[in-house]
Amino acid sequence: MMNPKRLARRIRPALALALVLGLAAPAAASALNVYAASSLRDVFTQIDSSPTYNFAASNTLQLQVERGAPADVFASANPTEAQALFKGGNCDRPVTFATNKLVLLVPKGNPAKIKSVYGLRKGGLNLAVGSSGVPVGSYTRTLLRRLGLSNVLKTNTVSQESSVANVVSKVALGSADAGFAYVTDGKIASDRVDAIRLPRYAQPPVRYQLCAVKRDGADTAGAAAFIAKVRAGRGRSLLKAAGFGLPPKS
Amino acid sequence: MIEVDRGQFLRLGAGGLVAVATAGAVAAPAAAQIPAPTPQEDDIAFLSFAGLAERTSRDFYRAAVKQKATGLTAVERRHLDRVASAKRAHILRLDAALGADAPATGDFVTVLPKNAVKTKARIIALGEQLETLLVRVYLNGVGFAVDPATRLLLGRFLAYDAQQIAWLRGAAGHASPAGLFSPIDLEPAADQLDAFLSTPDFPD
Repeated sequence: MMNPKRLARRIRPALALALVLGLAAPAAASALNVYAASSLRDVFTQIDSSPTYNFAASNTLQLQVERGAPADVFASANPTEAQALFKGGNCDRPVTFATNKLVLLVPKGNPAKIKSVYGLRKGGLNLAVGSSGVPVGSYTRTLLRRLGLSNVLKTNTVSQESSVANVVSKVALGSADAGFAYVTDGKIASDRVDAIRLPRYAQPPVRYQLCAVKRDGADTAGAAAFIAKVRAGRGRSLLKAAGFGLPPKS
Repeated sequence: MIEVDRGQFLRLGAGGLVAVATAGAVAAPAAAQIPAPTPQEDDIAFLSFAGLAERTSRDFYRAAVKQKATGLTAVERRHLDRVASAKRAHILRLDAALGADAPATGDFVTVLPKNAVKTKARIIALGEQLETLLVRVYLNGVGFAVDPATRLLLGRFLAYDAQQIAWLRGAAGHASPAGLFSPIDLEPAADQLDAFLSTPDFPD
C-alpha cells in the first residue's frame, strides 16, 4: 500500500489540473463573463443575474483582462482602466453609464465622534483607505489634496485596502474609525455604517465605464446585450435606486 | 512702453531702432519674470477652491449683466462685464496651475439664489459676499501655501478681488471696508461655496 504522503504527492498534479479545468468551466459554458468593479456588485446582479460575475478592484480586473482572462464585459469605477484597455486594443470604446461620489464612512453610532472630514486633522485615528492603485484610493487622495488634508494620511494609522469592499468591511466591523468609500457603499451597508457628507467642491468626478472585451472567443453579442441592458431604462432606474448618478442619455 | 516721435524716428534710423527694440526686449522680462506656480503639498486646496469660487463669481456677474431693469447704470454694467471677463482670465490661470486637477466642464454648475440678480442692491450684496469669501481664502493661501509662485498668484487675485469689493461698496454708496479682512479656513469656506454649486450628473 502506498504511503499517504507519496499518494498526496502523486495526486497533487491531477488535482491541480482538475482545479484549473473546473475554474475554466464557466468560460467554456455559455454564461457571459462580466468583470466589474466591487462597488457594482449589488446593482449589477439586480440588473442581470444570469452572467458569471467577477467583482474586484478595477485595476486588478484590468490586469486580468490584459493577461487574457475570459472576460466578455469590463466595467470599471474609473475611466482610466477602461480607457487603458481600449487603447491597448483589449476592448471596444468604453461608455460612461453611472457616476458616484465619495463619503466618509464611520461605524454605526460613530464611536470616534468624527463630525466632519476635517475632524481627521486631530490625528490618532484608524483610517481605512483604498490603496493608491485602486480607483477609490486614487479618488480619496485627490479629494484630500483638494481639501488640504493630505496630511491626515500621515497623522492617522492608515490601512491600505485593495478594494472599496474591504474599506467598507473594516469600517462596518469597527476595525477602522473611518474610511473613504462611495455613496452607494454607504447605502448598502447603512445598517452598520453612517455616512458623513464631504464638501461638494472637492469631490472628484467618479465615472463608471463599460466596454465589450475583445479577445478570441469573446461573446460579443452577449456583451452588447448586457451593456444595452445596463444603459436601458430599467438598468438606469436600478442604478439610480442604488444611489448612483446617471450621465445624460446618449 | 517706449514712445518715439516722428523726428526721433528719422534721427534714430535703423541702428537706433535696433537699440529701441533691444531696450524693449530688456524691459520685457521684468513683466515676464512671474514664475508659473508649481503647487506643493496641499497648495492644490487653495487653487481648487479658487477655481470653483471664481467660476461661481464669473457666472454671477454674467447673470447680473444679462438681467434687465436691475437699476444698474450703463457704466456699472460695463464694469461688471469687464469683471466677468477678468474672472474668466483668473479661471484660465487657475486651471493651468491645477493641471489634471482642474474641474472639467459639466462637473459643477453654479446655482444662484432666487432673484439674486433682480435688483442692484441684491447684486451688490451677493457680489460683496462672494468677493469677501474669495479674499479671505486668498489671504489664507498667501499665508500658508508652500510654493512661492502659487502664493504670488493667489496674492494677485487677492489684490484684484479686494479692489472689486471696494468698487461694489462704492456703487452702493458705502465707504470701503475700514478694518482688516481675516483669513478663513477652508472648512467654513467650503460650506459657503457648496451652497452655490450643483453636480447635476452626480448623486447628492
